[in-house]
Amino acid sequence: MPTHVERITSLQSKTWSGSLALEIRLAASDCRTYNESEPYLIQYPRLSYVAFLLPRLHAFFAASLINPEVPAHEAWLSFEDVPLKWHYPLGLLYDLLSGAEPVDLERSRREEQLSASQATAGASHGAVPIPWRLTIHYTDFPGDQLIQLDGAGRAMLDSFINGVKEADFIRNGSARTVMSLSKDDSDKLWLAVQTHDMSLFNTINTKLLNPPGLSLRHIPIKIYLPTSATQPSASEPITEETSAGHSAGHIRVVQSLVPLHLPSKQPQTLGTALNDILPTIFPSRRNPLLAQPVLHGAAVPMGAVMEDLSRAAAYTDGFLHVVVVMLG
Amino acid sequence: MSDWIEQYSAALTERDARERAHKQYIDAYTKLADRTAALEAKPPPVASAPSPPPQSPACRGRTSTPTKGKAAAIKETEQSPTDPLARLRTDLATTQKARTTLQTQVDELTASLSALHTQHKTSTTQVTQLTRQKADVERKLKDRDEELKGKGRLVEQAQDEMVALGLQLHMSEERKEKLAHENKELVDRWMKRMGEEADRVNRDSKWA
Repeated sequence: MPTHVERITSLQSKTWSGSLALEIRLAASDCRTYNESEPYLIQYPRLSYVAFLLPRLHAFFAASLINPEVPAHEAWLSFEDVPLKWHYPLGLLYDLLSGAEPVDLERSRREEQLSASQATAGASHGAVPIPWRLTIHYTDFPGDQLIQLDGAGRAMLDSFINGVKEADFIRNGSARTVMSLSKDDSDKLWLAVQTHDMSLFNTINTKLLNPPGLSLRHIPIKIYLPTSATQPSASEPITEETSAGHSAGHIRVVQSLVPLHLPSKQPQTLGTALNDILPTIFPSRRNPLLAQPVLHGAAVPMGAVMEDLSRAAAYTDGFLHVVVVMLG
Repeated sequence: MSDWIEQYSAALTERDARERAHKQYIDAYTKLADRTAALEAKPPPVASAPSPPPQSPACRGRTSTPTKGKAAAIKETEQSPTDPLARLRTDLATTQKARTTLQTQVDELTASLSALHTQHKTSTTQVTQLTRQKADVERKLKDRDEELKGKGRLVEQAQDEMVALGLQLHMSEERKEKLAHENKELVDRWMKRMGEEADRVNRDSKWA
């Protein structure tokens, strides 16, 4: 029987091993041969950031660029004309924008029971998705929607460290632990993110998760809502209106303090937390009736204990980036 | 409580089965793509290194003769290869951009054109249908007119017949009256004669 710690570790390695097939094409207006350049296919980890791909993409597309002297860091990626934000990990971008259906074994099992005779139930849920088609641009940088990167990768490092500090602050009430990391440790952390090395990451991350003298208070979590959903009256959230382009509509980010335990001393589950923050969308604490929470491309059971979920399935910046997908 | 870990784990496994289905092929592709990129990057620097040195003395040689070998001319020739290149690049960039906008316009126009085509087709079929209906209705109308005319003629005929029959009837009645009158007269005369004969017979029998 695997111990609890072992199960959490195996769940974390499953999270880290998730990757997506990407098909990146050069925008027609930047390509010498208009639309006859080849795509760049790559199976990229969900937890990583797309900005790390820019040098490789530049090397690949250099032959077809109209102006090959544009530096690699001035490129930007888009999906169906929506620019992809650099500080969102790939998994989050895919869950938010691609429109692919998340894996929900409960629902597919229920649907198979209802329509036992129909062979279509199995076919639609076993569908293999085609690679995610993205476009890379080298001109018309949307400065109002994306941060400008630099050649040394400092902008990415800064936004990553900001995320880590924010997560640490939410966890402990102060960002002391992150600030007190040695230069060596913070370099190792960033290297682990860049090279997608889970064991190196864990050596530093355990220091952040088990700070000496401080007890964990809240779980860092960010909830992403498509604004086609009914506007909920969230209780004291910190909302950021981020407009993700004309076609995708607006995406609303909801953040609230999620304590580790309920007032009744019971551990906080995802269901109780969502019911507390967004009661209109999650009226029940156990069953996803109107919407379901999606993390890393799969629906999370409502009974998931927040503390364990945070240790196993958080992204590299320490946050649980949960996307809400409306049902039906 | 730990059931959720199993559930979520199973969901992640299923997700990996889908999302990583083509991992091998994609990784092979990525390797080849990176190798192509690396190979493409190497030759051009090698090729470009020998070309600028022979280019610049050739340029200098060529341009020095018309401009009579001024130092300023040499500087200009060294800059001129880059200026038209930059100009060409911007021109190409603007052309490609214009091409994308034109392409979208063309797509829109073809879409509206095909929509109009289908509309036109439905309209023409409607028009032919309506003209056929109109022809049918007109024919029916003509037929009905002819019927009416025919019926009118019949009515006239019938009326004429009636008049003729009426006359006949009148004539027959007159004749009948005349005959009845004649008959009565004849019957009266015969009765008178019979009476006279009877009287004569009575008179004769009395006498004999």
